Amino acid sequence: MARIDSTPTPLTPGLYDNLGLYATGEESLRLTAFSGLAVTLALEGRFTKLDGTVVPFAERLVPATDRTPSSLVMPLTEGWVSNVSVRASTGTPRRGQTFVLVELVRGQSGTVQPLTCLLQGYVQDTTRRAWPGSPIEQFSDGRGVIRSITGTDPAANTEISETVPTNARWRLIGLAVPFVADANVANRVIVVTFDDGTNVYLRAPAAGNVTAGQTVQVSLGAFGHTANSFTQVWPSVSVPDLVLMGGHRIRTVTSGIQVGDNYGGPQYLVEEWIED
Amino acid sequence: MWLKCETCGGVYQPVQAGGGLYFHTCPPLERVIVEQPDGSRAIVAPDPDDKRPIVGTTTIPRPGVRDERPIGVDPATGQVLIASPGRGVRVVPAPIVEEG
Repeated sequence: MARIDSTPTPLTPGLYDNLGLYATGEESLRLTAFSGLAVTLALEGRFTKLDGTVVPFAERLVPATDRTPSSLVMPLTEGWVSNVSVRASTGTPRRGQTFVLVELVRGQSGTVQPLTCLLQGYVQDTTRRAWPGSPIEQFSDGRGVIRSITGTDPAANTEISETVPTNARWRLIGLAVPFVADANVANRVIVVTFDDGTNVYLRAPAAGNVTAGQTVQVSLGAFGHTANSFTQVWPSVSVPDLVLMGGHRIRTVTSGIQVGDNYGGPQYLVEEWIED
Repeated sequence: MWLKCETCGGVYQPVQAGGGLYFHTCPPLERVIVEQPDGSRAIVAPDPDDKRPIVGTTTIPRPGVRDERPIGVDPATGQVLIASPGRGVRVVPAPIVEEG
């Protein structure tokens, strides 16, 4: 009868460590990123081979800057994924601007089968998301980035219309826009409307009317009331704490608008998250 | 850099201060709903000389609208495809910002 060699494989330091997630050699790590800002992402970690050799890895991904998904696939040999982390190695994203997830997947192209999610959430240049360790985070968890946005300055006799970008979620904090009425005699009534791209779900009127020759500064916020200065040049628009999804629109509807009336470019403050 | 939309005449910054991108979309055309002498309703452009009673407002899509929101990537060139290029854009000087 043949003897079975039962000599065990010597335990190397790499095998003493937390071995992590076993990979069969047919799997890959996939980094998917959504970013609203120009960044370079570093996918870094350690992989332990069957012989206990610990191999560091560091891959780079430059995602699209329009919040559409970009991916990097890193094939794995047989062994163990010991630890993984993602950070922004270039760029200075704030929380809410760059969202990543790292998965173990089977297949490298075509029909790729995700097997498990290792890490998911927002990353910055100064903070990381790591496995093991970081909690799995959703797009709208926590606070977003505060952005001050300069909208489109429309042509004369044209309303304001701002659209929430694709794959973004906005909480509108405030909006300021000047309006200049021409010499035509008419009462202009400014209403700010919010719609889902088609259907209006909120109309918020500005306080007071705008008359011929006036220049007013319209201000929108969760004031709790509308107000107007005694000279009617600072009409306010009161809205609730609004959360807007991609494709929703912020528009003005100005009854009595005249051919020479002109809105300036709106400036608005939003809290923004990625939302795919 | 500031761009002017050749469809609607709007002027905007495609890259904002702070580095975030801005995706211009032309505003729709405002229309009023008027009551005609026979009782029916019509959607027309606002006209101060039109004496028909206005019973509502609505909007219609702007012809040749420019919508810069991304809808995918051209597999041949790798370029981002936008929803609708409209009549294009041109570079213009920055507008004067009024502070008050």
